[in-house]
Amino acid sequence: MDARAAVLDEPISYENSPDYELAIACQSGDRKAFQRLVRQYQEKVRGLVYSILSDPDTMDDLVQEIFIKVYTSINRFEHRSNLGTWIYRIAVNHCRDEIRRRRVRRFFSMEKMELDPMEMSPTADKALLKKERIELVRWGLSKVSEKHRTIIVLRDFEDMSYEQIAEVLNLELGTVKSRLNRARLALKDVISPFWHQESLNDAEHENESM
Amino acid sequence: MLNTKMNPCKNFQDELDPYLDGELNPESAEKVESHLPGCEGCREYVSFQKSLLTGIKEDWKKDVPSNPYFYAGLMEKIDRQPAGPQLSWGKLAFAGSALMIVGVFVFFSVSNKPQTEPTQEIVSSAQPASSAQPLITGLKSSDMLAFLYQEMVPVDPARTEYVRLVTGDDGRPGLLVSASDEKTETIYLQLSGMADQFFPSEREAEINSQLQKFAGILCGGILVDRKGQLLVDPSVYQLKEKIQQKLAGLLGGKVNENLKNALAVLTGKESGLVKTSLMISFPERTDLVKVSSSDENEYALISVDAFTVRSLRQAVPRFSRLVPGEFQAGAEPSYAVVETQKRLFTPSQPGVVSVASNSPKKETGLTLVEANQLLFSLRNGLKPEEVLAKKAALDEAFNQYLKDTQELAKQVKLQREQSAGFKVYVPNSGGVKVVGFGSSNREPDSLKKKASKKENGTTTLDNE
Repeated sequence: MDARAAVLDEPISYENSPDYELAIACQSGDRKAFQRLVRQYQEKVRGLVYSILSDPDTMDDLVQEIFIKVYTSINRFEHRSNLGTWIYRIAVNHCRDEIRRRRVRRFFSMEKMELDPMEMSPTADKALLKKERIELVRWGLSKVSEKHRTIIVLRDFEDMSYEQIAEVLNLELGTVKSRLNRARLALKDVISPFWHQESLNDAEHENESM
Repeated sequence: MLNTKMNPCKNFQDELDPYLDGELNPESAEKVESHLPGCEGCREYVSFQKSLLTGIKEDWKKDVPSNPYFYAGLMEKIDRQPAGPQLSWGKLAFAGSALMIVGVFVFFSVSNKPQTEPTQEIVSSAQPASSAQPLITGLKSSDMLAFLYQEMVPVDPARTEYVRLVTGDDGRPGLLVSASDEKTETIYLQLSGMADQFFPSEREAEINSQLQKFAGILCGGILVDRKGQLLVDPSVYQLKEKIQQKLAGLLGGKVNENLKNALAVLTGKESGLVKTSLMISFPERTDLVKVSSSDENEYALISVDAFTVRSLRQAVPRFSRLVPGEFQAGAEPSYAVVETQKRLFTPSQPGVVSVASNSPKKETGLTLVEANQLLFSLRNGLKPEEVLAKKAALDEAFNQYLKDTQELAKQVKLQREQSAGFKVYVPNSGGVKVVGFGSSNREPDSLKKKASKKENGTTTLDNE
């Protein structure tokens, strides 16, 4: 029996999870509670949406839609996971829907301008390097499939455990593991031509010696 | 540069990520650690993954654009939610998505085409008198597949997820083809996996049969690439060559440049990113071409006739996504429809579904609310007669719109013969701009003044 099945067999209660009360309050129609929920999760959801879609123009709207979805469907939340996981799941699914919609639109526009990223500069300016690196990673993520992007984002930027990822994405633990591996290899393939390990080392080094 | 050839070895590949992520037990982690020095592939993978993200995690979060007004804006929207957390979003999305226009829709009936044998039933008896042609309805997916196979890039039936009738961008029903095959997917909108999103209902069959009764008018979409070559020509019998010639003659090989100019004028800004493509997207309006920019936020609909006279019909300067509530009409689900319509298609006049005419006064078609209602009632078991009645009204509006546009084309043509400039109708500007496509030394602004003067009383482009 795999780990996930084992988890499911056990009746798990999330009543002890810190958000249980919050979720219950929201479900009872407590507006203040929902405000708290938004405050608590808005930055996280924003970060997630931005990481997956990298589109500042539509981000606010998407995040808003996600929270409205949370609001309108909170009564259907059955405490089978913790609140955060549930919200993440809504967010990820919403992003996926958005990506599908965009695919449709992209079809209409038929082609898309491709811009190559800048190669990392060989200079050893650490701040600049960091910025470049972020841009490079963002670009790299935009090149890999949504599945791969999402799992990397959840793991590396949202710091989720494999188990949490399994819940959010509704996957088996084993699948999380293998998909993450494929995702990272894919990202590496995309990024490595632009990657200067040496300049990174230099910068780190220089910084240490200062 | 990195050596990309290097890959982790098979024995440890599965362990490396859990190792990096701290998901291994101490013993396994130790095993990995002792393996690394002797294995270049694994070592490189681990070191790359580590260095890739080292030190950027915090900055990654800081990089997320912030919006101090977000919270307030959201709570305001929440307050406007009808009845608290009760609404079913499934239903909303469901109703909304049906109006979403997706792609290859092939309208079928019989304009110029000898009528094919209807496979199941003809509802010509229920056909309103205004439309002379009998309808073909009751086509099965397999029939449509055969049709598509004959007319378009072959669809592998085994890989076709569904062929369905949907409502087209002009509010008319059309065919939506979605295939899961990767090759056809790119052609058929890459809609694989959207079936659930589009038609999640158990009442699917019933709805489809009703929508089928709603179907009319045979036409087809044409996709045209930048060189004016037709990419996909589903069914526009005999029109293909005409259009190709027209475009070739019109655009003189400078298609992209011209369209780029058009977009720049319409949207009020030059975009370095703009790459354009042409698409003739209206089944009966083979004179109407859609121009899209590569950043997907801007497009314009250009009438080919109007193009000849360098008149552009429509522009949406920048799409801002509508949010729920803005188009609320009672309990009608309007959100998805509004949003989609706005994004994919025309409404520069918010709230009007996809119409093109020379002045806001002549806008015809359904309002979004009406479209929603129509669709909603369809999906809620409206009788076929009622549907047909609505369809008749829709047809009438559409015909009117055709007439209007043809009239416009004539007038614009006349206009051009009389004046050196040409007119661009920009809906949101409250008037007309004249621009000089292909003659870049012209200043749009100065021409605008000229345009607002009526010339020989023939111009109908000005807002009065």
